[in-house]
Amino acid sequence: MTVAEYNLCVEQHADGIFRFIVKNLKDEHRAQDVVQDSFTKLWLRYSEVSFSKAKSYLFTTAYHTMIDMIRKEKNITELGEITQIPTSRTEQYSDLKEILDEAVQKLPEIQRSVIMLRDYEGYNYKEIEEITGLNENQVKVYIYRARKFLMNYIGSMETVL
Amino acid sequence: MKIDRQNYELFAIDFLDGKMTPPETAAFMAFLTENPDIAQEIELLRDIDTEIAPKPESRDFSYLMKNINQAKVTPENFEEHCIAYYEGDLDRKAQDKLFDYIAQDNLHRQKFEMYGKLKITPDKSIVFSGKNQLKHRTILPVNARRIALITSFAAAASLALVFIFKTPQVEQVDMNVAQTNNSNTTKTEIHTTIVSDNAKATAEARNTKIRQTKKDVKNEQKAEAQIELPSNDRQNIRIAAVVDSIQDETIRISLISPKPLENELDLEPNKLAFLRDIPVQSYKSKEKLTPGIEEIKDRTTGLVALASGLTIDDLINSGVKGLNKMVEGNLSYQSKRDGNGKMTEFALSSDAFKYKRKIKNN
Repeated sequence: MTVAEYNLCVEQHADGIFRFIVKNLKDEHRAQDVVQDSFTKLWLRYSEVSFSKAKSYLFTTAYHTMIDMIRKEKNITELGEITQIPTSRTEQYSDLKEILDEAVQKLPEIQRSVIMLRDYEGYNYKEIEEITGLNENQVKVYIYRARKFLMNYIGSMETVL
Repeated sequence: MKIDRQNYELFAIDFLDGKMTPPETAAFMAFLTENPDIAQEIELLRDIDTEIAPKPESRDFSYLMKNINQAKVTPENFEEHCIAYYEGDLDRKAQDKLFDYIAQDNLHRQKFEMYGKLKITPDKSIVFSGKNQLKHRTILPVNARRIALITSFAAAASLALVFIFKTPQVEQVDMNVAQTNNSNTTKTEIHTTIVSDNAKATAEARNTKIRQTKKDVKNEQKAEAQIELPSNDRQNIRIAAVVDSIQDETIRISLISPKPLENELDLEPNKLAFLRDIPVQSYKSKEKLTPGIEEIKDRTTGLVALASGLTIDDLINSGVKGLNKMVEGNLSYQSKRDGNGKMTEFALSSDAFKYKRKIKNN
C-alpha cells in the first residue's frame, strides 16, 4: 500500500470504524483512542498490508483493541450469553430504528459486534470470522441469536405499528 | 470350540447379528435343538433387538439438520428460515418452501415481513473528527529527498531569476553588449533591440527584429569611435551576455504564459506592484555602458537587486514558498551577508534535510 492509499483508507474507513467502536464502547473518547491505535498499527505496516485488505485489517485491529479494553476494565459480560431476557415493550414507538438501536445496545458484546459488522459494513460470514477470530458457524449462530433477540425485544407487531 | 451351556452366550451375539459362518450356524442350531430353554431365551433377545432399533423414518427430525436448506419448514424452525432468507442463506428451493409455508397463514407473513425490518443501519451523523491527524505525508528515501530538495532549490532559483527580469508587458528593451579583443583595446558595441508589441507577439517576429537590429548596429559601428575598455570590465561583459540570454528566455516565457507568473507566487502585494513597475532601461550610448552593466551585474549576483529594497533573497524565498505550496513541503531558505551586502553563507532546510554552504568572496 502506498502512502496515498493509506490516506485514502483514513478517508474511507475512519468513520465506519469509529461508529462501530463507539456503538460498542458507548464512549467517544475511548473510541477515538481505538481508531487512532488501529491506524497507527496500519501505518507501521502499511508497506506490508495491501490496500484491498486494509479495511479488514483495520476492523480486526480495532475489534481486538476494543475487546482488550473492555476486558481490562472488567466491564465485559460473558461473551455469547444473553444476559437479559427481553420482554415485549409496552411503550408506543413511532420509529422502528429507535427501538432497534436500543435493542442493539442490550445485546451481548459479541452478538452486537457481529451484527454490526454484518449490517453496518456488509461483511459476509467469512470476513466476520477473520475479524473476530470466531469460526463461521459461530458467527452464523450469533447473528441468528441476535436477530431473534431483536425480534423478541420489539415484541408484538402492534406495539411497533 | 464346542458350544455348551457355559459358553453359548459368546456365540449367541454373533448368531443374532448374523456374523456366523454356515458351519458355525449349523452347530449353534444343533445346540439350540438340544437346549430348548436357551432357544426360547435367544428368541426373546431377537424380539427385544427389533424393538430397540426403530426404523429411522418413524419420526421426522429433519428440522434439526444443520443445513437449513434441506430442512422442512415447521413452526419450530420458521423463524430460523425467516432469518436465513434475509441473510441470504436460503437457496431457491428452500425459499419456495418457505413461501409456501408463509402463504398458509397471515401471521406467518407478518412475522416474515417483520424480520425483514430488523436490519440495523449506521448513524451517518457519527463521524471521526481527527482524520487529518491520521494522515501522513509521503516519505522519500534519503537520496530522493536530497535530489528533490536540490531540484526544488534549482527550480526556486530559476523562478526567482525569471521573476527578476519579467515585466508584464515588454515594450522595448535595448541591451548593449560590448565585446573586447584579447590583445588590443578595440571595443565593439552591439545594439540589440528587441521589440515586442505585446504578449501576443510571436517569437518569429522577435527574431526578425533582432536580425534587423543587428544589421543596424553593424552600420552604426563604422561611425562610432573606438573606446578603450578597462580589463576588469571583461567579467561584466560576460555577465551581460548571460543576462541577455536569460532575458530572451524571459520574454519567451512571457509570450507563452497564459497568466502573470506572479499570481502563482507568494509575494507581498507592494513587491508585486513594484515588479510591474521595473523600468526598462536603454543603454544605447557609450556613456551609459558602464553603469548599465554594473546594474545588470547587481541583479545577477543578488548583491543589491534594485533600489526599492527587493532583494534576490526575497525572490528566492518566493520561489521556495511557491514550491512548498506545490509539493506541500516545508523547505526554507536563509542567507547571511557581510557588511558590504555580499552573501557569505546560505542554507536550505526542512524537517528532514539541512544544507549549508559558505561562499568565499574575493
